[in-house]
Amino acid sequence: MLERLIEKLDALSQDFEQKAASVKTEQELQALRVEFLGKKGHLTQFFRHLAELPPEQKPLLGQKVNQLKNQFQKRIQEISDSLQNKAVSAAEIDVTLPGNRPFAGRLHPLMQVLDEIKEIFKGMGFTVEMGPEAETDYYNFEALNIPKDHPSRDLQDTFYLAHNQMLLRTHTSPVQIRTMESRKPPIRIIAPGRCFRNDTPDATHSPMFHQVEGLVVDEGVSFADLKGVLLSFMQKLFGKNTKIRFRPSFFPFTEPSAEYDVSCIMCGGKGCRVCKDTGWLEISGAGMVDPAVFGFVEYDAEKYTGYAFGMGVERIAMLKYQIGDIRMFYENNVRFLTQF
Amino acid sequence: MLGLEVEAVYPTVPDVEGVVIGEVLEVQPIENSAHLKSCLVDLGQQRAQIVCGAPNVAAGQKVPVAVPGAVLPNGMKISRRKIRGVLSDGMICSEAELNLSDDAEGIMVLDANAPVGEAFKNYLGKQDYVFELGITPNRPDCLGAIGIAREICVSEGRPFESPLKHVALPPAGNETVGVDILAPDACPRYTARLIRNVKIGPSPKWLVDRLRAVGLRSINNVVDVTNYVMMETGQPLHAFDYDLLIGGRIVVRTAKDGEKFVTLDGKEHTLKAGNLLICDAERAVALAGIMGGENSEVSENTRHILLESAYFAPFSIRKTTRQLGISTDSSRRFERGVDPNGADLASNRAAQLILELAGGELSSDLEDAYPTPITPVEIAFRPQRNNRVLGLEIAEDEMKTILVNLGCEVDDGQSPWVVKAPTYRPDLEREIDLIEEVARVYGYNQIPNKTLDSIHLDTTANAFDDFIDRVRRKAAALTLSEIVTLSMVSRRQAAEFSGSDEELLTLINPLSEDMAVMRPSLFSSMLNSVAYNLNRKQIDLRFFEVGNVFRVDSETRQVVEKKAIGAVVSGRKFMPSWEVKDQNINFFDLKGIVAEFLAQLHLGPVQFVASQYKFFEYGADLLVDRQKIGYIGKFKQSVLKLYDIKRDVFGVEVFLDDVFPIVPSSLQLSKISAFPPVERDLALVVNDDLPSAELERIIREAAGPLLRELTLFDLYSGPQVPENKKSLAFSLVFQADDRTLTDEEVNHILNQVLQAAEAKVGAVLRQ
Ligand SMILES: [Zn+2]
Repeated sequence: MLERLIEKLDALSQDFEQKAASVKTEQELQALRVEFLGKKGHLTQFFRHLAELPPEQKPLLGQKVNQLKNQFQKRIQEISDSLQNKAVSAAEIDVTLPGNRPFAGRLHPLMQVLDEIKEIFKGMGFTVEMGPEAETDYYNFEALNIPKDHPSRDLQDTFYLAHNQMLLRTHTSPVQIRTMESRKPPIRIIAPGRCFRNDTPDATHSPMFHQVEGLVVDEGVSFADLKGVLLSFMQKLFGKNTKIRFRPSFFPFTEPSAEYDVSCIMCGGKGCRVCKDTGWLEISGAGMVDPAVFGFVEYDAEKYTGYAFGMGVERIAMLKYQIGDIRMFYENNVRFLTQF
Repeated sequence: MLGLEVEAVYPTVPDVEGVVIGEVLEVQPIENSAHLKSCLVDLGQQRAQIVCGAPNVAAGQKVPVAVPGAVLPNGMKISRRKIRGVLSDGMICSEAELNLSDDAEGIMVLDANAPVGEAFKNYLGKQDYVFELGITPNRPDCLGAIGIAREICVSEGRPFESPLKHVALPPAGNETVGVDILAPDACPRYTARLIRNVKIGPSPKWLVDRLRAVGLRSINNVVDVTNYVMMETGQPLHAFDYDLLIGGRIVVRTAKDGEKFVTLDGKEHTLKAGNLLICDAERAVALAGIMGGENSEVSENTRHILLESAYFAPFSIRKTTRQLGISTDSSRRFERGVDPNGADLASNRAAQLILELAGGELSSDLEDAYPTPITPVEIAFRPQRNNRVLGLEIAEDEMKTILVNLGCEVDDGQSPWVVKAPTYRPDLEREIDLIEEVARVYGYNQIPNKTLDSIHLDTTANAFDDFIDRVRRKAAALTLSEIVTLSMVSRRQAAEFSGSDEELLTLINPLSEDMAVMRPSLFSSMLNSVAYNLNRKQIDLRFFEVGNVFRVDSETRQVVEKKAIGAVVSGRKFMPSWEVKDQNINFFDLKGIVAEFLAQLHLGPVQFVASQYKFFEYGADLLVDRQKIGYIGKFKQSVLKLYDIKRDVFGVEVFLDDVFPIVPSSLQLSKISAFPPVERDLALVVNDDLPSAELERIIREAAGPLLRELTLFDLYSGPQVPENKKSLAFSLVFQADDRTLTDEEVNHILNQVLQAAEAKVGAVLRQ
């Protein structure tokens, strides 16, 4: 009987080694453990046979079974160690398979540029103000020193609304008036937002666009401050070598009024296709707040001076990203949006 | 750098190599063609047969001929070819084809004495350049060459004297012209002078060329002179046929409402009361400052002319041009303000040129009706203020020179200075206007760049703007991509999302039907971007936009403008993957995004309550403390059809104006328990029309504060539950802050939950 049992043990040992050799995963290893060492496992069965043997044969078999048990445990531990350390082969896991990408939300390029503009101005102590897009004639024109029959209204193609003689603001300048009405100097604000003009859409015109206007009012504010702020801003936005220049112009709500340009961001001023060989890119208008405007908000024009400036967000975004057609911003083609 | 923007520069002589002067000898119709003619043209060295379709071609004309080999400015190559079987050896050109004007009506007819055979470009004269300037509306003085010359002198620091002061005229006869101004407000000054025995004829070539260079057509010598002097001085002038002025006198009056008048372009206008008219003894002969009348126009039969040079008030001309919808070179100048004290000088200059070009004699002196002369404005000017506003130090001498060169009279002997602004500069009225002039001439770019020397700690920082930016970033983090769509939509699109048509905010002058109404909901414009992408086979769309929505309140009739965030989603649930099964995004995906979004705003419990919307197939209101902050749903096919969308689209809109005030300004953190949580599952069978949120509410209420998490993990209806029933399986997590929960405690709570669910909605534990 003993011989038969020992033979059986040998066979079991061989069987174990065979099966152990083919184990590739933790699950298989666990199965192997259960099969041979579990409560109802093969080896455990032998401990029962032990009881059936004559006492003198017991130690021999017991020793043999324990030896095997240790051998199995050791082997299983080895396999376990190697499994945990194992580098899986390319055939098992192809790491070059594409990953499961999540849908990623992005911010619109125009809004990204606006965010950047706002951040720069906030860093210079400006706060952000907002106002309605459906405005009254008073805020959009009259209080900005643009009376009803003023020829400069010809410059603006205004959308009029069929209610309460309202209109769609043609610039964010009404926010200047609303802010000055609601508090006293010092004032240092920017007013970003949507504006509307009755322009037929083409590559550079859109009936809706975004503008950022700035307004600073305090005692002793001068044209030189205006130039300094715009220069700092443009250097932060386009790089520290950016230069600006001012050209006389006319706006009813500023005096002196200027158009301002920045040195071409593509060629640095040497002249290229983007700047049409002038070395300069037109940005927008600026100037000292006209005393007449202070009259509308009951500020003392002798005590306070101020400056105002504007800039088109689309224009800056088009320059920054070299976008040739303004309409791309509002089409929202995902192939365009996912590039930002 | 004076603010005179050069918008374009172009040569007066276009590239017309290969075009020669020819004389049309014979014109014969071509068989089978209504308008083509065969012309025999003398080109000097040879004669050519040329087919021409122009209606005005006639024998005896001198014309520009492009011979084979020529390339016209528009790129057209000329070659010998057959037209209707007739050989054509070149082309007779129109002004448009030669890039001389827009006139493409007929061929260009040259001076009778143009030399046949000579190169056409020689006929056009010496090469010159036209500068097209953009003049801002505050600078009427720059609407004439003399004003531009003054600006250039000023910029070079040189004094300027107008050549008009040196116009010499022969002595005049002693006839008089009667001028009555009945509307002195609208017409402060009217000058007239009579020139007899003029010979109306074509203008000399120099005059024709110069007018063409500024875009004007030559009419006849007298009319051309009035136009030319307007371009020189900025003062519009008008010549009447004196024989056609009844009574030989001028009356300036305003029109009666409904009065009719025919201008010299043949158009009849119905006038409004107040429109200013120039009349003779009996009838109107000109629309003052805008256009002359047909009844008194100078023609080839005119012998005597009355030359008008007047100052009409800008307000009057502007009102009339708006009311009648006409705008002319003349009215544009009067609207902006010509120099009231320059009317006589311009008249002198025009008289000089008329005598030179059309002969005749001055029969009257200048009749100058100017009841209340307009005097220069006196402005107090403080040099210190100038430097304070500009932020630099300009010497007083330099300021004075600038102002004097501009034409101001400066008395710097007192403080403040007294500066008299010239009447040709109506834009100079106040001290700041003079400061601008000093800055402009001194040079904006000479002004230093000062940097901010103080930072204001402003406590009024706009929290709403910061909130909006926060919201945008959260939306992007929750897989939505930002878009920007037009705020204007079509009436049909808007109507789908509006309570009633009366609530729509409508544009009076929309660009097109597609942009006729302000959007009542972000959906109305956002769906256009969905459609745009679907048309390009881009189907995975998860968009959000922050923008304003508009409506007219039906009771107050006030415009209500609200800031909203909207999202529209369509397409697949996951990015296409080899591993994940293709599945479409659905209502619950969007609802999950919204729930997470709102949770991150810490609004407290948000309820989704089923609600009907005319544009949603199914949908829900979003409520916080019973206040509606938005809505969510699946768009109806009928709505999507308007946009040509054939896929499922889900949308949500949340009103940020309503959310912002209820966002807590600080967070109330809950304690993290040190004791282990206990997890149990609970499957309840209920009627299939019971909203799951209702069952959740009952469970939470019955379980009390120890229930920390409640998650629905399975929904089943089918053979394993009775008909009209469904099974909802929840996972419940219990936890206490101060102790480890025992099984008995948890079982007790679960029993309470079961009893409550059974009592309230007849729920049964699923076996
Ligand atoms: Zn460049």
